[in-house]
Amino acid sequence: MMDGLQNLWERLERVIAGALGAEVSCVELRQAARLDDLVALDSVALLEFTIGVEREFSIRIENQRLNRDFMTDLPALVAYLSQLPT
Amino acid sequence: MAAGAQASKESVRHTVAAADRERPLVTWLDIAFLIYYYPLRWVLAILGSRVLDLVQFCAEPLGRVLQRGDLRIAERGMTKLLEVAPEQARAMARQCCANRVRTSLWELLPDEHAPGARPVRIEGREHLEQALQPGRGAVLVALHCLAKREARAGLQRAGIEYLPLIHLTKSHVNDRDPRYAGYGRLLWRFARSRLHPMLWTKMSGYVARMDPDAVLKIMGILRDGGLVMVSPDVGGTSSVQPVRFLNSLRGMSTGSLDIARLTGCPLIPMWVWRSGNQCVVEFHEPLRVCFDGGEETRESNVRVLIEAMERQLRAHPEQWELWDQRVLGES
Amino acid sequence: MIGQCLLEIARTQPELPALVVRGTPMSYGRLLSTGGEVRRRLEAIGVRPGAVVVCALPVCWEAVASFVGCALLGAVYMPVNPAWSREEIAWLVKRVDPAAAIAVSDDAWVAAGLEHSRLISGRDWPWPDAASAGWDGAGIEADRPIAYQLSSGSTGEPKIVVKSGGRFLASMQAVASVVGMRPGRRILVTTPFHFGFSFSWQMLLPLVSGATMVLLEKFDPGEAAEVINREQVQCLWGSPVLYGLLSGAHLPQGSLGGLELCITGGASVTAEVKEQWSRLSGAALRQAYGTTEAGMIAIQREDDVPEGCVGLPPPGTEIRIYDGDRIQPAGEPGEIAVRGPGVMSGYLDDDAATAALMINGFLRTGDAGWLDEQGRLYFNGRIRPWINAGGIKIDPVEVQNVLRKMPGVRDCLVRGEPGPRGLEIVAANIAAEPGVELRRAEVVAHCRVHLAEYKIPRMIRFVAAMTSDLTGKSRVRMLH
Repeated sequence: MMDGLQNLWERLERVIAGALGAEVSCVELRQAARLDDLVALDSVALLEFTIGVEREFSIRIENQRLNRDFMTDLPALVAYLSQLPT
Repeated sequence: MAAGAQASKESVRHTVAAADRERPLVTWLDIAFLIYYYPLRWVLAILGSRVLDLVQFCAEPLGRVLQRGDLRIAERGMTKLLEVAPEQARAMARQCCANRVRTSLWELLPDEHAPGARPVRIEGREHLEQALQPGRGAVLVALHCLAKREARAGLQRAGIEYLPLIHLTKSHVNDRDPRYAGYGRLLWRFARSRLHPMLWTKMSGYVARMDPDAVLKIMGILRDGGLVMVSPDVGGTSSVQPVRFLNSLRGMSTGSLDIARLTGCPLIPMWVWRSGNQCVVEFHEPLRVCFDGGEETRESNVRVLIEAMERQLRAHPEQWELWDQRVLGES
Repeated sequence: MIGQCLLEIARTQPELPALVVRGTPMSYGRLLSTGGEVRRRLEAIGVRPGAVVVCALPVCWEAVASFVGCALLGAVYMPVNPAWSREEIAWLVKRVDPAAAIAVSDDAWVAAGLEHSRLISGRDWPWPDAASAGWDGAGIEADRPIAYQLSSGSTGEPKIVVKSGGRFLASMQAVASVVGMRPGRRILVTTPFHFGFSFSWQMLLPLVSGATMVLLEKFDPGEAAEVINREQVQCLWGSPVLYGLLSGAHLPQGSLGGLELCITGGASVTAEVKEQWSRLSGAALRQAYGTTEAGMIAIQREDDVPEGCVGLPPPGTEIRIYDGDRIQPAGEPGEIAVRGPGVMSGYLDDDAATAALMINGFLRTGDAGWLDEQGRLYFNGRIRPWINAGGIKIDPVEVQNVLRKMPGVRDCLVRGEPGPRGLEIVAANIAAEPGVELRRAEVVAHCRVHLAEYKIPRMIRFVAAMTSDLTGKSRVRMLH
């Protein structure tokens, strides 16, 4: 379970690097409450990140969750991703 | 908030308060509004959309009288940006003001008569239908045209619904909307409280650029196979870059290209113009953009977008709304 | 060409004062005489026309005479800083392989590999007794290089700018016609000649115009004021620092009232200095804008001009404003490009760098500006290398300044780096103060207060230290 969670954070780290070009370690991600505390996220960057998450995890995030508050809330996002069927 | 931004807010407040004090007690616009709000509104309700046919014949002279300043600015803008002879620019500017009169009248009609005199004429619908696929909508690219709201109402009746991304600033939603700057101290609040909801209800549904969730909302709509409309001819947010549009340097938003790239949705030019009393909407083939390369490809895509907009504008310059507004962030 | 011009002045008006040193005038005739002596000495040690003669002297008449000697011989005169270190001299000797050097002291030059026989001491020359004639300056071709000047450049080694005789003379004459430089005019010379503007406008301009240079070997505001008044100097040409020093020296009001032409350049003059200067002298400060590569680009002709205006080009010089390859119309900003006689022939042995600067026969200056409807030039500063983040231009200096204000940041370097999809992102390398540990979230939060979201660096690296190399540019030593 913990391995799975660690894996999630690592995958998020990859998404951020690939989509945004920002090198943020999963340690920093775990310690931060919000992604936009660590990375500047203008509207295009937010879209890049969202689509990057969908592609990485092969999911479609529901429309009601498509908002900045949810997508940048790292603990909530990871909790959501962790409860998706693999 | 940074000290600088706070000071700036204070300074704006002082400036606005000073402008308020300089405002005359009553202006001609107050009188025009009172005439509209009491007898004229009821006359319009009785005449309905037939009034648009009646105004058709006097829209141009009315435009010349009511919008003298705008006429001069539009003429200057057209001469410089389109590089046409002054006489030609004058003729086009007059048509533009006539369109403006007609648009204002359409907006003043009570809701039930608002949709317009005739159904909108749609051309190139097949381009739109071919571009749409299940799970993939399209981004409509349009200029700020005077007939845009009429066109939208007409398209809705024809079964084509889209959500516009609009350049809404804080001044549009508070007391500082520049549209009310011409009213006097006595009546501007009275006028605004009645006009404002009436004008905004004609805009049934939109996404504002200043909404932090704007792009994600657009993403959701496109993913559901829906349509979103953007108008890149107004800058103002983070994706603004200086581009050469017509004959000068402008700040223009290129976020539509990023949306197209990330969602895989096509960019479909939608040109709106008015022919007499008939509103015409043309859909064109999707813009030929490519997202495989780096900076050169991005620049090439921006050029494709700009050339498409310039073509439309040159074909119908009297339809463009922005000749008299410095909303393009000219550098 | 320049040599011939000087000979002509010496022939027709031999008693006209060429320069004044500590109150003692030297006529053109005598200057040419001593220049001839320099020519003889150079020829004796094997210097031939076209060879390079380096002159590492302070403000002194010997430096002027050295130039005259080189001009008569047809050698290339290269003024350099007499205070250069051994490394710098070694670089120069290797770079240009001078045939001779005229310097105050020998050691560094010998250590750099120049033979002792090629060194001429540049001090305590005998004052010329009489004017002499007979030098014909024959064989000096118009296109032959007459001088090399060092240009600071923006990166790496300084470049060597080649100025050819005929064009250089033509540009001097054009500027002389604008500023009214002619026999009888006296200009104070305070800045060493290895500064580009000093060589061109404090030495050459008065020389070819028959004007008089009043040399001030060591600058002191009080002494400068005294010399200006005693020698009835009418022209002053210097950087804003000079005017600032004179204005701030508590000189009596109106004490420099004899000045008629006060030109400044190299940086913008503040309104405060302008106002202080107007109390000292009746002559308004006028801006001149030029570069070593391009020569004089624009001079302010009127006393009152709008902010940022540097005036009109001299006759024969054209200015264009470019945005990429496109010529900008009046009112639109872009890069200043120049065509005219003052433009260099090119960089020494660097055709590629020269070609990189040329566009349709115009030389790009690397400066930003615009032209108004009357053709007056407005200067906006250096064109900085912008970060192109997906079409949006971000100024790295703006971001650097914000980061430097952050508590705990000792130094930083901001630049564009390749990011996703081949587009640039803003990258910052930050060195913290000793004992301070900076966190990414703090940096982002600080930037967010002062910058728009899209300007905040995407890539943030914390580094051990910034070091600077010989070029003075920051280099980064990584944390690991």
